[in-house]
Amino acid sequence: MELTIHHLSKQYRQITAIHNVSLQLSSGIYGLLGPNGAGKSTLIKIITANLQATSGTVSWNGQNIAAMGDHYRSLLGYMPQQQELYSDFTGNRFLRYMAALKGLEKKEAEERIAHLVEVVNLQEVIHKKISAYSGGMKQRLLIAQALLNDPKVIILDEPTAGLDPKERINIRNFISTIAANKIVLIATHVVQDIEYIAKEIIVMKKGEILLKGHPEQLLSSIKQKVALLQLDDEQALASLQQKLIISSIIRDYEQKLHVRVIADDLANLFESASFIEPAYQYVQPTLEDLYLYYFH
Amino acid sequence: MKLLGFELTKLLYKRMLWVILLGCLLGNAAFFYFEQVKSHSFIIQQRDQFKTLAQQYIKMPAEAVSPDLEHRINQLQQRMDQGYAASLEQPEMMEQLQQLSTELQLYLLLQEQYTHIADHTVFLEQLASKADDMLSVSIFQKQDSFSYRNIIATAQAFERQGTLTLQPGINEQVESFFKHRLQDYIILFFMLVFGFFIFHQERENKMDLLIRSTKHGRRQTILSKLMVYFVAISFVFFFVFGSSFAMTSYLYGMDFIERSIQSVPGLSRGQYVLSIAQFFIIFILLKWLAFLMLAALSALLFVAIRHLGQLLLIAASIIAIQYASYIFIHPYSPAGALKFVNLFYVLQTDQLLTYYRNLNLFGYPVPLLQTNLVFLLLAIIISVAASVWIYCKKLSETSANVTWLAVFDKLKSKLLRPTSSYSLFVHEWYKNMISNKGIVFIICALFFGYIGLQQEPIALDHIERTYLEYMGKFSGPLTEQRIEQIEQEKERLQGISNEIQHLEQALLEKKIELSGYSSQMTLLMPQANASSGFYKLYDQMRSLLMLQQSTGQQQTLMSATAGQYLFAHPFRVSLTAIIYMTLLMLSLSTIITSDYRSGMHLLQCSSRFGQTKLLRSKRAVSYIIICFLYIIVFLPPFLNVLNYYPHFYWNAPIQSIPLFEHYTWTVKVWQWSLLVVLLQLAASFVISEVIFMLSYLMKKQVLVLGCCIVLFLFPLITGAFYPHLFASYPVNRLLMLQLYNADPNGLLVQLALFIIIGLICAFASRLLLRPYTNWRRGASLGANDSSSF
Repeated sequence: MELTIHHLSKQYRQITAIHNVSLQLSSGIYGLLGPNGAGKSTLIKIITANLQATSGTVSWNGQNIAAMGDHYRSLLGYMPQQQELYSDFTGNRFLRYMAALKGLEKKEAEERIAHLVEVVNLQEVIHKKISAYSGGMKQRLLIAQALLNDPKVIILDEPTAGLDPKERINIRNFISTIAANKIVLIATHVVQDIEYIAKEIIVMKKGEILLKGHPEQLLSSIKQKVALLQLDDEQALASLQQKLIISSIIRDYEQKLHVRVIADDLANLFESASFIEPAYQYVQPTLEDLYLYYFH
Repeated sequence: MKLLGFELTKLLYKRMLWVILLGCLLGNAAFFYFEQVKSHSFIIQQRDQFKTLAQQYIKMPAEAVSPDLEHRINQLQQRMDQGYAASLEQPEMMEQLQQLSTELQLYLLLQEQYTHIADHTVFLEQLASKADDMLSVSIFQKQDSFSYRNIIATAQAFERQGTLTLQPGINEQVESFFKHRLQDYIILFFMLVFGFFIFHQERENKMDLLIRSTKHGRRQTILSKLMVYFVAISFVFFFVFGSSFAMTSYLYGMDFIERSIQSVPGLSRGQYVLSIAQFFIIFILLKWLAFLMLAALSALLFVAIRHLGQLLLIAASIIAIQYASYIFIHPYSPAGALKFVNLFYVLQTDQLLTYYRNLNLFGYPVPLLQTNLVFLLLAIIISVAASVWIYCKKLSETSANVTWLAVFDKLKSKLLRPTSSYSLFVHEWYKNMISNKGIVFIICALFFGYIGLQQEPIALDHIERTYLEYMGKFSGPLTEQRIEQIEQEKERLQGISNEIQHLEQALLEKKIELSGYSSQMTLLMPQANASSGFYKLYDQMRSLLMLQQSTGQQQTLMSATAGQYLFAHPFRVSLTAIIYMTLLMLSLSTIITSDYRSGMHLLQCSSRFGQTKLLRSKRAVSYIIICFLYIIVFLPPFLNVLNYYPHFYWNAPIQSIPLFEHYTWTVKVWQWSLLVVLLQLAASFVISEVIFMLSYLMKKQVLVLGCCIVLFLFPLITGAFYPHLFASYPVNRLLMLQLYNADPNGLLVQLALFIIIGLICAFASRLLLRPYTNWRRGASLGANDSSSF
């Protein structure tokens, strides 16, 4: 089971949305990170056969998806970002409609819907109109529809947008449980969503793949580049802001500042600023630090 | 099939659409009814008498019809003239006179139809001889030329009509049906709305990305969508045309439908030998096909173009090009095909059956009907195929960066976006016009305003026509000299009547030859026929004279028709009031409720001017919208009077209009018109205050609209059908102009009360807009708050 993206480019007149992207995805969860305009949406549109690439191909097990047509789409489960669903439909009708679109037989559709409604915990509201759903319910409904056809490739665009922390964790865990023997690609801004469940993280910047690898592997690239500083006043902070990436600032009871900083050559910097331990200490980087490091 | 069901369900769930459709059906039937009653009240009232009379003459030998009709008309005319003269002394004779007038009109109508039948025979003879004449000219003798073939084809096409027996009947029954244009507009409106919901809305909500990524999300989906689109359009088509047909049948009956269409003047130049019943069926089927073709074309546009503005612009360009071709291309120009194979020509379906013309197709004459049928079918097939292909293949980047579209957007943003403004009013204006789509209601108002503008003078009956002719001679201030002129004319007409009587007598006593009698009657009859119109004017003059004597104020003899049209035309006034109120409700009900919908209300209220200046800005916006709507919807009747209703004096006392003869206020017509405008605007402002208060109270547009329907629209609609109900309801009195019998002081009291209601509502709005005075707790809660399932 392999989805191969081979030298993919997409040009909108003068704007290059993605440039020469190559990826090889096998079963497991992939996190797609990047700021707005990095090319994530364009890449997703091409993978979901909603957009034609200017050059390059996307292949499923060696077969070009453009040539596969219906067959490829029957392997696909897509959860788009938007929450504008058919407000007059009940959740159940919406799922039956999606089952019809996915070409499921009646019996199979009924079984899948019953199962997925339970999985996403929508049993109590499934016969109510979508207009009465909260943001989280709509997200869960969209996840359920994406899984209706038991897809091999699942593309989730911002699956936890607008959810409360509990729902986010629920959905994150749920994605983890369904990922066996499937390729799951999650595009998100929320790094915590993928930090613990992604097999690999793909970081995009200006239409190109900037980084790709296991989270630990990526985090090791910024080891010794993240530290926690203790400062006495704002003046010291102001002079640091020119040279460092500030990740967080916390003021304690004694009005001292604890600042999480990111920079390439922290050791030299601390030395030149006459910082001595314990005024600073190196800390374990997170994906958020990685994100800030590359997109500051 | 499953997808078809879901697509259909999506459309069926748009309940508001079906309510609008029901409204349109009723509106169409009502419009048709009032329009026919306005234009053809005589034949509608006298339908059975005319039927009996026509059948009596149909049974008569053809050569006996014309002399008999002429004789009876002369007799009736004389009796009427005598009756008029006598009625001045014996008013109780008026009823008898009315009966005579009705009988005379029935005979005149029948005579007109028999004249047409005779003319048609002459037309066929001329056509045959013209073909022979043309073929004798050398340039038409070339047998492989289009001209030669066309002459032969034309002669053959009409040859079949030589054996037809034309008969009189109720021509309005078919003419009114195919001339009724509102049904076309209704279907076009639904075509746009259905197209938006079926093809565009999903794309706007980005649901298309999800749908297109599924197995059956392409070919099957678009085929289902197209099928549902065609079914929905057909459903609306048959219901709307059905409602018009039912009304036709109710008003004119379905007698005389077996006679040939050539019996009806408006249909007589067609080559096809059809009965009226067959014409009805073919007309409806052709029209349906034409709308299916338009639906296929609009589906193609919806599928091919993502951007709604771009779509409308391209559709407008296509319509403009087609219209220009239809209007400006000369029928005999080399590009004549573009005129005849044209959207507008196809929609004027009756012309396909009743206008004879052959197009030159490789030297062979092809009738318009066949050419357009091929055009229709090809357009449907090509559009459907192209829609399916584009939907399956087209990918979402299309038209995202079209240069001219970017220019259009830039222009729009410059014109409409108040980016550099810090005025609350400007932002509120933008919000209501653009975000809340208020501009659509202004466009709708412009559309209704346009169709309210008369393009030509209205059809008048004989009495009205002659009345206006006499008005041309005698209208103006009622001076001694004018009264004397009118009296002289009366004496002259009585003289003519006596002369006709003497001629009749002389003919009976054989003192005069038939030829001499006929030639003298030919001279006298047109003048005698005008007497009925004159006596209407004479009656009006006598009433005004009495008024002038009792009040001492000089009155003006002026057209009663214009006054009636402007101030008491029940159909026009009702329809205008209903349209205005509907647009007003729809425009104003979003001004406040949209803030509740978007959850902005709390934010606004917590800001400095959110409870004071903001409300004033909203009020200013609503008043300006009211003024716009009012001018657009209510101005056309005034323009119509200026353009098509002569002999109307704006400076005359209001009592000079017969409708206002008992009115006690001393005002001129223009002053009264201005007062009416001010009263109606004041009423509209009060209504806007009520809508504001309801908006703060209900918080949801649908509830506000429901209340407005009950408070304002329902009384207006009921008043249109049953004028005595809600007759003293202020909204009806002001908007439906039921003021001519009003006691001026009572009217002022009523207006004052109305204004007080407005002030109370304004005060209530001020109180209700505060968040802590929420009347319906939870009404403003968004979907997020309903998560506690």
